[in-house]
Amino acid sequence: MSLDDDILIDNYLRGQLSDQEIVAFELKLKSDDEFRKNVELERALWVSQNESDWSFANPNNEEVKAYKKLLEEPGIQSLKKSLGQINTTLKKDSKSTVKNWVYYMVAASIAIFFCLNIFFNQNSSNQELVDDFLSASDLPSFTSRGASETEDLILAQEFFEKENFKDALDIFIPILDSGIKDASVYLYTGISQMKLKQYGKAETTFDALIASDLLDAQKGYWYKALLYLQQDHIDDCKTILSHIVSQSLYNHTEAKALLKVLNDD
Amino acid sequence: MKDPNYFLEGLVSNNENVVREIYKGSFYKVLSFISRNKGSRPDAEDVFQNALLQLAVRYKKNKFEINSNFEAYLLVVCKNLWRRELNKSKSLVTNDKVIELKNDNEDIALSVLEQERWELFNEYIAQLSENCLKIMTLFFKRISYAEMVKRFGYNSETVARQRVFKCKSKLKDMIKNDTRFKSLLEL
Repeated sequence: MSLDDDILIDNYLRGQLSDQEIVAFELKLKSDDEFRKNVELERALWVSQNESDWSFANPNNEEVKAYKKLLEEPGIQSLKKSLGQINTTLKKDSKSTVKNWVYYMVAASIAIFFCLNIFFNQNSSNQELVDDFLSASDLPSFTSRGASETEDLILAQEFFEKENFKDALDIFIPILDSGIKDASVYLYTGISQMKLKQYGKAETTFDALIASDLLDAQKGYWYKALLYLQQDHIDDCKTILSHIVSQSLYNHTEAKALLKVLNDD
Repeated sequence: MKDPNYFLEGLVSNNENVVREIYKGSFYKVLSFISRNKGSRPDAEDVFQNALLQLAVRYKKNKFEINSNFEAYLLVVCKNLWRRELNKSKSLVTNDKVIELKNDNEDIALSVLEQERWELFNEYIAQLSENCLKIMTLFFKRISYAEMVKRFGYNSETVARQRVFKCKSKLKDMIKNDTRFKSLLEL
């Protein structure tokens, strides 16, 4: 193919031909088979490589017909049925509440252990302090809810507990984006972002919780304080802790203790 | 990392445990992607199911190899299906007639071929020289030749056009010489 033809096809794909040129272009398409084949391939490449486009196939293509036939076979039809069923049951599965009790018992004992650890170990680094406090957090478990839509949250919590924060966020963020207002989802999201060092995003998440009209909105202050501590923004951290103490907000006792540790340093 | 064939075989044989494993491992990544890109949960469910059907039917016809891990590959298929869905509304004209797209087996069958074609193209784009790859990336992003001149310090637009022409010709030759080409793009 000549460079001239290439320029012509290029201008056509970019929508840069005049009406008159388009008429000539279409005439050439009909009369010059080699040219037409080139245009088809160029067009397929052009649309397939751009996000705002897609290269659609022709239903008369023999391969398409063959796939269509295979899709009608009983084996694939039964797979189709199974996929539908699995999709439905995944949403409905609910887990044994026994796990909740175990979870709470373990969480409670860890909390006591870490609180003792924090106050006896005055030389902890800020990072250690944050980790200790986060480990001691009594984040609620979604497994206790039992409603069908919480299946997603249970799985996200599993990821979170396995410290797979990225996968956890893949679930939590769409839930928040869908407009569901839930303090626990905010907290899990913010802590996951914090763990992934996405500090700006974590702060936005905690701020959104604080600004919400949720009963647990005040928890946002405590975690925002930990977020500042994690980043060694000690003055900001102290400001929030003082606010928590003066207003007797969530975890004000811990906040008071943490303030003391920070002031002693 | 599990062998991708383990998942493909599991799909074709409709092995419930394998299918559940696939859902657990990948569905939420797809949901996350789609909800960040103008979609909802039902959209993600449809895309995910169609992607799995696509893989099953393709593997059944021809035992193809997945050269990356299964989850990454499945995510690419889902992203393409969603891209396809978002672009469906544009009127589709091929061979002078508008294609009516239906949400059924024909639609899935079409998407299999389109995915194969997309892979064929990308396989050869990846084989281009570094310089060709750079300029073709800009070309496919629909960047103007004037802009290419600026970015690459060419003397004129003619030089830029000649570079694109040369690289694109090489790419088209490689694609045309592939045995899959004829069946994937009927010219």
